[in-house]
Amino acid sequence: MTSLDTLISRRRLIGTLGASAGLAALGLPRIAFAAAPTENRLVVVMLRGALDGLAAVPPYGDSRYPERRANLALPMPGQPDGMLPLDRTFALNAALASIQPMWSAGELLIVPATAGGYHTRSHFDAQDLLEMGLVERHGTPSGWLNRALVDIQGGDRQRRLGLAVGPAVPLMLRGSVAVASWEPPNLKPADPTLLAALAQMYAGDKLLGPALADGIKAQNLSDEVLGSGMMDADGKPRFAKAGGYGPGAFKPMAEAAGGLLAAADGPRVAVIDMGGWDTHVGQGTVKGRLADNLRGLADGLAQLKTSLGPAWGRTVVLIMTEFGRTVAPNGTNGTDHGTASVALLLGGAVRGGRVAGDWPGLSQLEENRDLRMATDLRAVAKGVLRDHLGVAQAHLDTAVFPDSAAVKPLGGLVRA
Amino acid sequence: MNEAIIAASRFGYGAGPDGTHAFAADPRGWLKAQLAPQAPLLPRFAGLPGSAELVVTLQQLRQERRQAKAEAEASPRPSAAGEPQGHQMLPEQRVLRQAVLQETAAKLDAVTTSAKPFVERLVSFWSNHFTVSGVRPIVRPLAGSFEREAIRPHVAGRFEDLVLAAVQHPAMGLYLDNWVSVGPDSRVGQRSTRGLNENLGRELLELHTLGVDGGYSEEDVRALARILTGWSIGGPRVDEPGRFRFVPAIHEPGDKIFLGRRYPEAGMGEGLAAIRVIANHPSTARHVARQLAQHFITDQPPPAAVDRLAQVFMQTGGDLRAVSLALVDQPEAWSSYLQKIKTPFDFVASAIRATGKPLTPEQAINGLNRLGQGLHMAPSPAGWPDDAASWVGPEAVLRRVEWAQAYAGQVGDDVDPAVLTEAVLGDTIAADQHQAIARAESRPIALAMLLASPAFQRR
Repeated sequence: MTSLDTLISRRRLIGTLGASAGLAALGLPRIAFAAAPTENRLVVVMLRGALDGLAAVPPYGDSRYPERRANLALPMPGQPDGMLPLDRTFALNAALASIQPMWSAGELLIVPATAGGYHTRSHFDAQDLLEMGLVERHGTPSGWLNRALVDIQGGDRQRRLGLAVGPAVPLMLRGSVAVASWEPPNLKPADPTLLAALAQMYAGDKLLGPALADGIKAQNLSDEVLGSGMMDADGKPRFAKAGGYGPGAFKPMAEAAGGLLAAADGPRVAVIDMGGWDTHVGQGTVKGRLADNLRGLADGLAQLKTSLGPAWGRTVVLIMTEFGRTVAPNGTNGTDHGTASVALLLGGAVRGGRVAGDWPGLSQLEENRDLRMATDLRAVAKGVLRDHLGVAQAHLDTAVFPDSAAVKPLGGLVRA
Repeated sequence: MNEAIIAASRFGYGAGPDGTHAFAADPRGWLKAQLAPQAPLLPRFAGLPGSAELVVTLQQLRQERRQAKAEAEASPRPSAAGEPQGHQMLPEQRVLRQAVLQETAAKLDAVTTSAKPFVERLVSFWSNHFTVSGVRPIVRPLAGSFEREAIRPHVAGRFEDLVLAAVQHPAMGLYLDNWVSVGPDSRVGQRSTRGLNENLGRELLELHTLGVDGGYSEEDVRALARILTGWSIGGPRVDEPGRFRFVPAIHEPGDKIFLGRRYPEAGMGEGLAAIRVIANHPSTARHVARQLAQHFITDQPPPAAVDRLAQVFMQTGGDLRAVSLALVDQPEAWSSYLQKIKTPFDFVASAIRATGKPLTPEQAINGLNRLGQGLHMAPSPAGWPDDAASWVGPEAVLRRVEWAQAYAGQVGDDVDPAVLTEAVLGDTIAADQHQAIARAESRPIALAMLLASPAFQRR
């Protein structure tokens, strides 16, 4: 027990209070520390590799759609594997069937033709800029969501309302505010004796010390919240196959995120990554890599709703990607790097069942090849942060998205 | 600090159980001597299947699957009578899986036992620079042969040759889709719907040579893609199946303007000329110098060191031996020790090298996957990140501790932790930490502490 006490007191010393197990062990009333500044939840799903927005949410009612998309045009509603109509202009790819009920329930909002305000077709630059909330690289890299947490946490940098789901903390969540992270466990947990010894060893290490302390804390949190659900009947970790890439990797992460966010004293803002969207070759119309990925995304989102339980009613899920893809198929039945894609908002707190923002149409294209941007992703994020999480607009215009006063928040995204 | 430890850990994969006395007298000389102009292929790589052979196997596998599908469609069986045939591995699949295991074993053997660990680190560095990733399943069996055939022979040669070898390797052709990129006005392009694919052209400029701010336009990306049409892979019915092959029928005809220069129609010659230009471009020298400095010095490398390396690159026409020698001569490479965090691969490789106790390829693959850096499985063409922020998350550090514990549990019973700590870390670990290891409650815990210690997690 000595070693565990050591760990707990270490955690206390470095100010990472909030681990329920630790608080219980210290005999302190949980509620005194657990009161979160908001009951609302935000999940940002970052689709890396550039989602083909025209394939995910096809504008089938745009008269130019069949000709512009050529052999990538999806079968019309009603045909075999046909798209699922939303309104007279937009439909969902049939692979997104799992989230279609959310549209009817008014929990799914489409924002077509979205892009960051930057001009690059490099995945890596665009992802960095999108996550930093900038249009040009400058300053020390930190993420817009981390800077938003400064306001949400009311200056308490140790509260850890932010949660990174996956093996690394995405740039969007990196910065001065401490965040929690969770990854599917698949190695035997470290022995407390070893952890206690290492906590000593790492004490003087500015990088590894805090990371280890946070890791221990996150483990306690996830053990308590996810409980015995972590192991299957054979005692093997349930999420052993999770992590990594491919359409199947998203669902278990969404499940875990939902469980952690649902907890009364858990995190409130989570980021989940999903890769595999860079579809240069044979992306297929109905079957193939893109359809599999969309299905994996939709299944994971349905799971997220289930795992959040009643908290779904106070949740906004924002799905975005670094840029769109070319409107016309390339020579290999795929699409190359383009400009605008689509953003989706889902959740019980979303004022959904409708389309927000403008549709620039497929008649005139950016550089004669790409869907033009109608809505800046920063406007969407600002609208959510202001109206759902109460971040002050002055903070949004200057700190969260520097020099962005001209990009007005998109209003009315969430239920009053 | 002990320069021999720095030489071993920063430029290689760390010291072994015998420590550093073999080169302690002249660590810099030891590093430089490893860069012989032409290293012969090591015996550990003999007998591994070549990429051409593997590509042919992949082609056969595709053929078999098509046939099986056609047969199944011709005589459909009721599904209730379904036989468990689906789980049987085809002979081709066995060959490909075997290739992955063999390549993994050879790579691990090289990094953990080679007498030229600096060369091994350079191989890994350049392999990551020209990433081909098994995240695309068809590339998975070829990634090892790519590193062995395209990267390894050129790490102390000319950068231009390295670029050419990487671009012409079938693994790169498949990974970045160039093998199916068809010039719209080519003979094939005119009578089919197939066309141009920009993927290789873009990554070649952005990642491999000029760098994203290297001074090229979208038009240049497309021009390079057009120039490289026809750079493909030989199908089953040609003389040399499975190898790089220039296919004139899909090459976009006509003049191209690339980086302000006109390339008159010259078939494959256009690509050769364009690669020569971009491989020797000043932007490329800076891009490569910066990445090398980031890898061997610090995450934010000192500009002076980057300038000096870029200068050597330009003055020697991209002689990577000269550039690597210059790397050893950078004072910052010696004064900034322990500022780099090891990647999971570095960590696993140096742990095995330290104890001299190997893992099976399956164990190594599993471990690296769990640590988030599957061998040859980088998430994108940009390769694995080379900075601490990307690798030191709370979960990531715990995973390392867990892996250290598991590995130490497996091999720790017959090492002397105190002696090993002295041999591998010398005075780079604080005395009290050394003592804590020596006093740990068991040998496995002591070894796990050594491997997880800050001094071992850094280089």
